[in-house]
Amino acid sequence: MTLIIDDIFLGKLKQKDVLACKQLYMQYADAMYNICRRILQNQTEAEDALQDGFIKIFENIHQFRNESSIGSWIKQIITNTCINSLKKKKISWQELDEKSEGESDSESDDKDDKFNFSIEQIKNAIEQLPNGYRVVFNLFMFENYSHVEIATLLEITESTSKSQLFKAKNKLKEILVQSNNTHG
Amino acid sequence: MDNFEKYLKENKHEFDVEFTNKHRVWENLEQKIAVKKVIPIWKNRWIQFAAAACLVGVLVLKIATPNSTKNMTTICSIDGVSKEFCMQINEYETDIQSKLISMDSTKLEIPKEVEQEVNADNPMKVILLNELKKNPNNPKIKDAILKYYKAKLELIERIEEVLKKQDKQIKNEISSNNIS
Repeated sequence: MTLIIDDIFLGKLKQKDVLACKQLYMQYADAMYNICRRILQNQTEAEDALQDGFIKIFENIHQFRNESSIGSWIKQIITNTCINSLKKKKISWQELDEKSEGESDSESDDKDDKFNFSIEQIKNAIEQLPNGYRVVFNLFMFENYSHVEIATLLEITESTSKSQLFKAKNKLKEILVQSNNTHG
Repeated sequence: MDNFEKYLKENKHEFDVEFTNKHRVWENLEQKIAVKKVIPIWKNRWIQFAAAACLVGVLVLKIATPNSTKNMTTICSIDGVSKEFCMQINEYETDIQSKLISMDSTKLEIPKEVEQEVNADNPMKVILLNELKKNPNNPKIKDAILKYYKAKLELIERIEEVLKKQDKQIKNEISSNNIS
């Protein structure tokens, strides 16, 4: 059931009406949790970030203007919270290989590749990616962020974002091929 | 867009995981929302302090009109208030009464500021008593009332201490003036 965000409902949220807050949470929790899991990987950290994110949403709901989608607004806050949580862990973005900056951003190499990997295999391979690669890859592939948006979110350059995606895809394929070879 | 990218985007939802603790996270959130929304008035230290000061004023008035046991009976007469809690309140009331009688017997001069407080209403007491009537066994309300009485007693003790010091100082000055 889609939640209708009208002025009455927004008014209730602004008054911290528990039922309205619950409705909003229940509507978006699953999707937002998956964003957190993709960025943070760890279940507990994802749940904590989701909780912190929703607290920010409820506290700042008065800043939401009904001109844009509340879903995008929520997604933005949750993504930022998860990325901040990742930064607190002092994960160095140096793993974003500077040498590769400006590297080809074309996806030409594998246009004709055929993939015979299961979803589970790909999921496992994504989890094995270094944090920097994984976050850029997930934001681009699953959350539909552009390189400009990723660059802003992660405080990196647009070309770094592009090169990381390129390298992430190559690394992913490498992991997948290896896993296929290992498991015969 | 390469085949791999296309494949991932087309099967995006297959990569989602189930959020098993969805309701547990909500329960945590609900508690935090409730705490932020309603901060019980009796938890505010300033209100506790101000109310205690007002009550001290009211009690100081009793120096002039002692032997009133109205407050003592009010709390204990509320339906559902435990005997144990009633006894704790009675102990505080007795201590306060003793202090006031002791102050009265020393004939200490009560400052104007305290006298002004005497005329002020005591809204905190009314709020706490109303809350206690609604929830006679709520530990938070009971705790707030006990803290309230404790603060009240401490304030009376401090006032007594200051008044005694002032009195002693005045007497010393008078005696030193007489000697000279």
